[in-house]
Amino acid sequence: MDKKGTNNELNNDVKSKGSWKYSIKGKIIRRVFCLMTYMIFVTFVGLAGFVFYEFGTEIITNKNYNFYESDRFRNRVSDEALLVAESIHDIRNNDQTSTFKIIDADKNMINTYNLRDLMSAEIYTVDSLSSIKQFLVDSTPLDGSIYDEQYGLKLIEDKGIDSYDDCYLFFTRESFKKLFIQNGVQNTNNWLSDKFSESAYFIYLEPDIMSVIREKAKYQDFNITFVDSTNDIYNMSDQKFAVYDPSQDIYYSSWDDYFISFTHYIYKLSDMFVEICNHHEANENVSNIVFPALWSENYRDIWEFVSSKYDGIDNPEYEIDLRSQSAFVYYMLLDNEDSTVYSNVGGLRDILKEDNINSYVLVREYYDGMTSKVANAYQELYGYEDIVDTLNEIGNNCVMYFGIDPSRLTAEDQSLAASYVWAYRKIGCHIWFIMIGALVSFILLIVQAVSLIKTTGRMSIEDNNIILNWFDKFHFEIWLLIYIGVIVLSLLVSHYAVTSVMHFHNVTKFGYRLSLWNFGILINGILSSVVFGFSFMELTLSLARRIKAYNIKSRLLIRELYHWLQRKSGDQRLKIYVWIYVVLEVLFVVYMYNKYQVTSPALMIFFAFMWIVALYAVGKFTADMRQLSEEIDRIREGDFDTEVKLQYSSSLFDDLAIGINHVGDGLKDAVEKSLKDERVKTELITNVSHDLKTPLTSIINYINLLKTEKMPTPEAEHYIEVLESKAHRLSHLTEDLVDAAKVTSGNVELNMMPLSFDELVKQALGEFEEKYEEKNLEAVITYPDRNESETYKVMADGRRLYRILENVLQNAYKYSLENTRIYIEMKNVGDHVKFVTKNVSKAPLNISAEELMLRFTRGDSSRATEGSGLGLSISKDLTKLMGGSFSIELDGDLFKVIIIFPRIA
Amino acid sequence: MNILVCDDDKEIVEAITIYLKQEGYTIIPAYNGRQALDILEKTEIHLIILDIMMPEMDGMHALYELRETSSIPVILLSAKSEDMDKILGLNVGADDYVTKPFNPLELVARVKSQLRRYTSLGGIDKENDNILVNGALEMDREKKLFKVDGEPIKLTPTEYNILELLMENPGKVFSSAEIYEKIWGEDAYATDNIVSVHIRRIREKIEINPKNPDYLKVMWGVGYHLEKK
Repeated sequence: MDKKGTNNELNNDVKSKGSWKYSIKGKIIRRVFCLMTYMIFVTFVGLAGFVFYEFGTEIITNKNYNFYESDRFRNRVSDEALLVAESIHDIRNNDQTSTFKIIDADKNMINTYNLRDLMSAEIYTVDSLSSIKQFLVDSTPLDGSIYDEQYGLKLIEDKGIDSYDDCYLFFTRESFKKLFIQNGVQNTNNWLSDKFSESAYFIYLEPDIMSVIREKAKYQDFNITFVDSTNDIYNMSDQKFAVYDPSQDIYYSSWDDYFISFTHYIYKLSDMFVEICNHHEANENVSNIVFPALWSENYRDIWEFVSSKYDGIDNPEYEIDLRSQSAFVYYMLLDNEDSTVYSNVGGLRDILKEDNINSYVLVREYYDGMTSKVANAYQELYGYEDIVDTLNEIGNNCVMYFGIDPSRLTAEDQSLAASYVWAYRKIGCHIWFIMIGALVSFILLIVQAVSLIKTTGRMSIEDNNIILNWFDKFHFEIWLLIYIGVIVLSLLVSHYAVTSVMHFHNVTKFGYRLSLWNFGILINGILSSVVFGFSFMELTLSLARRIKAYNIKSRLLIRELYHWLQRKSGDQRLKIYVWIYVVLEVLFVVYMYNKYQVTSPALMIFFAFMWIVALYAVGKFTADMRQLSEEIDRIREGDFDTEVKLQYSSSLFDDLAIGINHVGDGLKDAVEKSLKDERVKTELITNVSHDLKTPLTSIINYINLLKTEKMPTPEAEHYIEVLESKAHRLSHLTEDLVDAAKVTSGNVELNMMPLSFDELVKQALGEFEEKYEEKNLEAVITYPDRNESETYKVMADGRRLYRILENVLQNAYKYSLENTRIYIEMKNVGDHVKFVTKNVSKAPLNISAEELMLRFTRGDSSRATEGSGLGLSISKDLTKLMGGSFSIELDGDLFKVIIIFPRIA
Repeated sequence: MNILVCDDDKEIVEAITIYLKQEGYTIIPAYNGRQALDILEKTEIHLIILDIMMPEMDGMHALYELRETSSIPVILLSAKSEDMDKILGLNVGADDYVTKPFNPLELVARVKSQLRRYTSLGGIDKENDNILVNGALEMDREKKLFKVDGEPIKLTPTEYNILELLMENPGKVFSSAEIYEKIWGEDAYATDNIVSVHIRRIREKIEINPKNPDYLKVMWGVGYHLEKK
């Protein structure tokens, strides 16, 4: 009792552990986890695929893979640009050395700050000079005038007297904002602005970018052209380049793109410049205008601002031909008189916020420079004659700073390189992680899948009864189709989702395209993979269940179709014809498609319909034919009661069917009649024979009794002898009669078996030994041409064959001349056994062989002796019945009997 | 010994009665199956000769009924001479089957044989390997004696050997060649009918009707065998 209990407990434990797996809840939870693993796996695979597609397998095969040196990257950007970009990249990452001086005249201090510290921002330089720049705002420098009349700007080292007259500067917008003025209002938020007066100016000490780049170029055999003169700009206009925006890792691909806006910018700026200058001329205070170079998308803002500062400026209608999607120009007005800076940076804050203006190309050009250099260049390039005139009018009082947000410039021309780099940085360089992730999730997926497959369809671990759901019962082909469809669709959708992510990145950077659409695609992709994962899983599990339940073969549509066709089509040959027809039709359709592009569904449907109709018609036809032929066979075999009812009753065959049925009837009657006759005959004979036998018995008995009595006279004794012999003859006759009747009517049941003819002959001869001795006849058996192992095996009824031989030997005994030999020959001839007896007839044979063979015929003289005359006839019939042949030949006094039987092995 | 002879043909009954009386048996006649059964109840009978085709109750039915209570020897007598009839008769319980018309002497011989067998109480040691018994045939190998129904039969050595071979293997068919090789020890190539002659002679000695042997039977075309009884 105890033992049983503990066992049960154990079982329960084991069961409960295992049974959760099999429980509905367990299965659902496991499925959910499996699906999640699948999605993770798919994501990893997708990413890995993307990486390999974009960057090639060398990303993992090459240990020293450097993205920037990789072929694929290099193919997308020019070499020079690459170099520049790299250098900048390096510098950017390594630059700790740029310093920044703030010179505050009012506060009487000069402080040096590390650029990064100071600005909390990054400085970007491109094509810049490595020189110390000093930015002179007014003519009250600490150490003398630094305003160069010719150039408008001079930089003087605070300690030295070197001057540098061209420089490039980059500031982040943030830093600009922070450092300077917002909305024309001093920025009080920047700690710097607290410390410094408004008249403070700063000097930015740049690292020697140029020399770095040159240095690098030396080793790379590149021809770097540094744009520090307008001529160079002009020369470079048809060159490819990459403007590198480190903040975004973006490259811009051509000077043309770069400067197209530039020209526009210049052109428009000049208009405004004119106005402002005019205005400022009116205001004597604004005698020196530093006209920085930012332009706004919304010109009105600028104008509003300006006009708010400078009363009296009208609101002109300026057409600003800006690229519609970009606001990349920002300006800054420096009022020399009151050292106020006016810019649109703050005023367009809202708009600017969305823009990623964190880098600028500041090209400082004097208007002279413009007239002499830039203007000429652009004039030649772009035909802006007006610029020249305008600027000529303006005079030397302005310093122009152009600030262009490179990212906005070529937003539309952004090369694939930029996104390419982005893709690399964000996804590509993590490839190993992705691959490992894929592998791990794959293993997890497999483990879960195996577990699910094992338990699917069962309710417990011992349960061998597989439960199939409604879907499992569909035909296997349907399952296959759905499976393939799911795979294909999921591949398509996942591919689409991945590529859309790419675009997603590119577009939303600039915010001018609706990100929602792409986001929508991503969501769609996620949902789809859920759907596909689920379908995938269920389909696979369905397959597992089908296999477990051995359901696949039995649910093959093709198989069912085949069987249906078999049933309908029937006759083999016709089936072949039908299939040939089908094949021809298919070929025809294919041909039509290839040659004429005819693929209308209607046509296909039409063909399919025709095919089905043909098949059906043929099937019906052959089914009927088959029924009829089966019917005829049955009648032939003797089943006359059979009647055929055509399954499809096509009138074509109705009459035929009726006729055949009637034939059956007629035959039936005939056969019945014949049988009846036979039966009657046999019965009659048997009855007669029986009736004969009874009195015959008495006759024989009493004759015998008589023989025991003493007879009065010898004659009486002789009479009794006669009676006895005749009674016996009568007895034999009745026996023979019955046999003859049976044999001739074929009503004899033969017991066929293999036997040795040879043996039989010997046995038979044994019976006649004594008899032959009476007449001194010698039976001689010979085996001409006999081999060692020769046998004389035939198929016959032993007893009956003996009777035949008995008859033959008896005749030989009866009719042979005394003291002669009876020759018996056994020979194999071909595939027959030939048995021949030869004996010399006592009485002359004056009758033909044929006549002898007739029933009841005997040689005339033999009528006096015993013998019923039925013997030869019966023998012949019996032999024939057994498949042999019996014949006699008469040659003078020689009497020959020939019996031939087919030999068996 | 009382013998019941039953046949619807009076003359046949009469004839049989005459023959058997000569042998010293007492004959009680009957003319149909019912009568035969009635007599059986009242009188002690040692053997029945029974015709098949009779009115009121035919031989088969009578035989079937009497076999329920009695095991006395029954010889069927009938004009039906088919094998099937014989087999049927023997299966129902007859000990012998004689067809009409018959040789009265043969009938007598069979009666005697059946009675001898029925009355002999024993003396046959069936456990002894050296004594072979098959129906009425008895062969003592030690003493080289052969008896049929207890009556010793004189056989030539060859005949004895052949018979011994057949009695050792009752039911098994031996071809003439096989018998020759076993008995004469030589190859049976191109022998003539010496074996069948011997068989015939043996039959004449041991069979009631040598033409229609009960024991030493022939399978035509195959050989000879001793029928197992």
